[in-house]
Amino acid sequence: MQTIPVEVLSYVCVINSKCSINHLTTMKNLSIISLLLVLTFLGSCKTDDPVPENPEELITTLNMVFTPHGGGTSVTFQFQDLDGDGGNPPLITGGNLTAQTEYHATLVLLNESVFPIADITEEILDEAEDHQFFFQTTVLGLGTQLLHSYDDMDSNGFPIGIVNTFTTHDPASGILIVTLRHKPNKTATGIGNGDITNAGGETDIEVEFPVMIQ
Amino acid sequence: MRFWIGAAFICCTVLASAQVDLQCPWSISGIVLDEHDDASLGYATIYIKELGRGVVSDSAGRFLIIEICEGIFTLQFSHIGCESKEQSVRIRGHVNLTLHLEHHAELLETIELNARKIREAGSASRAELDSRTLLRSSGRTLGETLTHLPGVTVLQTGPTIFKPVIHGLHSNRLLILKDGLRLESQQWGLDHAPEIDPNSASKISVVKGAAAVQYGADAVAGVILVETDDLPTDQSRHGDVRVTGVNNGKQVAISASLTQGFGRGYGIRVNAGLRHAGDAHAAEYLLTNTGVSEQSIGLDAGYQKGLRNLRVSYQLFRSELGILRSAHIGSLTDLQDALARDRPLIIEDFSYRIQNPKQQVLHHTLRIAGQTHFEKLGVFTTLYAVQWNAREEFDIRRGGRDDIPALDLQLQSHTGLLSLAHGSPGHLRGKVSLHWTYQQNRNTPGTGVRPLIPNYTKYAPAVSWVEKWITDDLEIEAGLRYEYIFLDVKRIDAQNRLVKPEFDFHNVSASAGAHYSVSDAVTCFSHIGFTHRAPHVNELFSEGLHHGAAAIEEGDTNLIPEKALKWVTGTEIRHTKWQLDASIFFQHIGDFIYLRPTGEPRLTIRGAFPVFQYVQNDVRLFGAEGSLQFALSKHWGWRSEFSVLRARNISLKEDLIGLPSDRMRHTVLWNSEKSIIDAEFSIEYVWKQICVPADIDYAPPPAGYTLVHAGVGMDVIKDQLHVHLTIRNLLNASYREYLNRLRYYADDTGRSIELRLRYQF
Repeated sequence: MQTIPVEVLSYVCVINSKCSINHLTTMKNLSIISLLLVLTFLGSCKTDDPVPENPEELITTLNMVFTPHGGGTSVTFQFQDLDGDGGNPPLITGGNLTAQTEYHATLVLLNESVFPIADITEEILDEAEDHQFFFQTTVLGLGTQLLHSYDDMDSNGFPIGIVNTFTTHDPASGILIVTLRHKPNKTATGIGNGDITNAGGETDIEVEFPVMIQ
Repeated sequence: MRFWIGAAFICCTVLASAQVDLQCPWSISGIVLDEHDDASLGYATIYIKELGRGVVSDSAGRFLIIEICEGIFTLQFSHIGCESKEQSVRIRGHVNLTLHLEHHAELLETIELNARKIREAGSASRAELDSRTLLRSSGRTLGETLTHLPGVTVLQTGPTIFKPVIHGLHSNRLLILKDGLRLESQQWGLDHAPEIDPNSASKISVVKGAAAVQYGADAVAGVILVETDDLPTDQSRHGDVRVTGVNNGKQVAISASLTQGFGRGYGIRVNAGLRHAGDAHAAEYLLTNTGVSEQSIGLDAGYQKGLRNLRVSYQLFRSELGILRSAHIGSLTDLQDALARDRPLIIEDFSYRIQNPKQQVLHHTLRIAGQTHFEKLGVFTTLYAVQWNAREEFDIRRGGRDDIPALDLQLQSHTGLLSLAHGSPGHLRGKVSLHWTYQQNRNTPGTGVRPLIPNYTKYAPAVSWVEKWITDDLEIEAGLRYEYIFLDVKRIDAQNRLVKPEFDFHNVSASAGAHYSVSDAVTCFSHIGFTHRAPHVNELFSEGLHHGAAAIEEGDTNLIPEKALKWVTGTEIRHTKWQLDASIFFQHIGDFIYLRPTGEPRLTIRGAFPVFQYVQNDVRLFGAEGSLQFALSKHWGWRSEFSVLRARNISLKEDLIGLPSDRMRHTVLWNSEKSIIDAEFSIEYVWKQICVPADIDYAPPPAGYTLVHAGVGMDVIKDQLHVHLTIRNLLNASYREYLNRLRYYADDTGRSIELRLRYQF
C-alpha cells in the first residue's frame, strides 16, 4: 500500500506558514511552490517495471486417462493450452474406446505454464466439497453407449469426479463434454447422478473431446 | 392502493417560492459599502436565496427587506463591477447589516462560476439539480442523483454501482469535476462508479452542451460539476446533519458537516458520511450480495479577503460494493443458463455481509488552491492537487485465494493549474489557463491474474483560452484548447517479456456558443463544439477474459483519436405560470472507439468465448429532451420531462449498442399553505430499446416499464428540521432496465421506502 508522500504534507505546512494571516499578497509564491511540488514528484517517481504475474489458478492441461478394468492399453484424452486464454489455440486430443468395456477413468489437471509444473488436481481435492465434474455426451446416441458413474466422494459423501468408471456398449461416435463446476449446489436434484441441470456454480472447465467407440 | 391515493398530495417548488409569508414579522436592513474605501454602493442587489426574493439598494446603498421569518438565510449581494458575495444571517429579530463588496470590474474567475453569476436561472446548456432534489437524494449515489435531470441516465451494475451517462455516452467520454478539479480514477471500467460522495456537495450540475469541451479534451458527452459551498469569511457556525433510512436493503446513511467561520476571512468545514446497506430486494426476491459500505471524510480550510483566497482541502472516499452473487459466471454456458432462468440461481437470506465478487475502492484527494488579483492583469488562480485512487476487485477464486484481489490498481495523479482571468472594461471577459497532469498507473503485483490494463505513466500538459462577450441580452462565448498526451506504457506481453511502447497524442478542442434573451422570459441558445479524444489505455491494451461479461476483450494499439463534433441548441421560457426547457442535440463522432464482436469465438479451457475488439467507426447521435412545468393553482402544479436519443453507426449502417431508451416522467406537485408540507406523485415510463444492432447482444433488450413514485415532506421546524418520506417503485413492479449490466441475471430493485431527516443550524 502506498500512502501520500510526505512531501505533500510538508509543502502544505510551508504554504501555510508562508501565507499566514495577512501575507497573502505573496500568492505568486504559491504558484511557484505548486510548480516545485509537481517537479518534486516528477523527480521522485521511480520507474518500477512490472513483473510477470504467476497465474497460479490457471489450468492449462486436462488429462483424462481411460484404463480398461481388466488391464490393457490405456487411452488418454488431452486438452492443452499452455499459454492460457488467448494466444495460441488449445490442442485437443480425443480418442477411441473399445466397445463392451469397463474403463477406469482418472482426471489429472495441470498448470504447465509455471515451473515446476503445478498439479491442480490436488487443489481440487483439497476443496472437494466445492467442486464437481460432470460428463455429458452428445451426437449419435453416444449417451446410451457410454455410461458414467462416480467412483469418489467428498467429506460429505457427494461425488467429485476425479475418479470414475465409464462403461461402453455398442460402437458409436460423438462428443464427450467434461465440465468442472466451482461451488455447485451438490444437494440439488440429480447432481449425485451427474446431471448438471441444477448444478449452478461457475464453470472452471468445459472441454469437448471427440470420442469413438469401436 | 389507499396509500397512494393519500400520497397523491403534492408539492410545487415554484409555487412555494413565490409565496410571501405574512406571519413573518422581521426585516433586514443595512448598507452596502465598497470594501476599499467604504464608499456606499448604490443600486446593489441583495437577494435572499432561500426565499427567492430580494431588493435593490437605493442610491446611498441602503436597503430594507421585510417580512422575514426566523431562521438562517443566505444573503447574496452583488453590484455591477463587483464580485458577488454571500453571507449567512440568523434572523431572530430585526437585523441591520453592513455589507462590503470589492469594487472592481467583475472578473472571470472560472468559467463555471461566471456562467452561474450571469445567468442565475441556469444557462440552458447547464442543468442544475435544485437543492430540494439534492436533499431528497441523500444516501443515494451520484449517478442516481443525476437521473433527475432530463438527458442524464445511468449505466448500472446491479443496485450498487451507478455510472452517469449523458446523451448516451459515459466513462472515458464524460468528465467529472469537483470544485474545478477533475476526478482522476479508473473511469474506463463500465462497472466503476465515480468516487464522489454527493452528500458533501452543495450543488451538482451538468454541462451537456458543446461548451463542455473547454473543460477537457475527453468531455465528448459533457461535464458533471460537483461543487461545495464557499467557506464562511465572517464569524458564523453552521451545521447540517442528514439521516436516511431505506427499507430496501435496510440501508442507513448518515452525513454531517460543520462549518465554522472565525472571522477576518478564516473558515473551515469538516464533513463525514457513512452509508451501510445490505442485500437489496427486487420485487420478488432478494438480490444476494448487493450490499454497500461507504465512508467519507473531508476537511476544508480557507482564507478569503476580497479577491484573494487560499483553500486547502482533503477528502477521503472509501467504498466496498457487493456484486450480485449470481452474476459471477465462468463460461458462456453459465451465462446461457442464467438467461434461461427467470430468477437468479443464488438467493440467500438477507445479510449485510459483502462477499466476493466485490470491489473495494479508496480515493484520496488533497488540493491546494489560491487566487490573487493583479490590478492590471486580472485574477490569477493556482491549483495543485494530488489524487490517489486504489481499486481492488475480488473474484470467487479457487484454492483459498478469495482474499487476493484479481485486480489491484493504484492510480496516482498530480494536477497543476495556473490561470489568468481578465475582465476588460468593455464586455469582454476571458481566461487563459495552463494545465498539467502527471499520472501513474500501477498494478500491484501478486494478483495471480494477468492485468486487465498495463502500467503506464501519462504526461498531459494543456493550454486553454476562453473568451466571453456579454451584453444585456446577448452572450457569446468561444474557447480553444490544446492538449498533448504522452503515454509511457510498460507491460508484460503474452510471452512474458517486458515491452515499453510509447504514444503521443494531440488533442485540439474548440467551441463557440451564444445565448440570446429574446425577452425577459425567453432565452435561446446554441453551442457548437469540436474535440479530439485520444484512445485510453484500456482501449489500446485491454486483453483477456472479462468476468461477468463472458467475453474476451482485446485492445488495439493502432487506434487513433476520436473526432467529435457536437451541436446543441434550445430554448428556455420562464413564464409566471409555466416554464419550458427544451433542447435538441446532434453529434457526429469520427473514428468512434467501441467494442465489436469479431464473430470468431475463441476456445479456452472454459469453453468458447466471443471475442470483442476495440474498433473505430463513424457514428451519429441525435436526441432531444425537455421539461415543462406549470402551476395549476395556488397549491397544485404539474411537471413533465422527456428525453429521446437515436444513435447510428453510419459506417456499418446499423444502430449502436448500449444506448439509453426513450423515457418520460410526469409529476403532480402539491404544497400546503406556507408550503410547510409538500408532496409529489410521479409516473415514469421507459420505452423498450428497439434500436439495437442485430445478433450482437446475448439477450434482446428487456420490455418497457412503468414506475410510480411518491413523496411527502414537511418542515417540522422551518429551515431547521425537515422530514421527507419517499416511496420509489410504489407498485413494486418487476422490471429490467436495458442499461443495467446485470439485467441478464436478475430484476431491478423493487419497492423502496425511504425516510429522510435533515437538521441544520
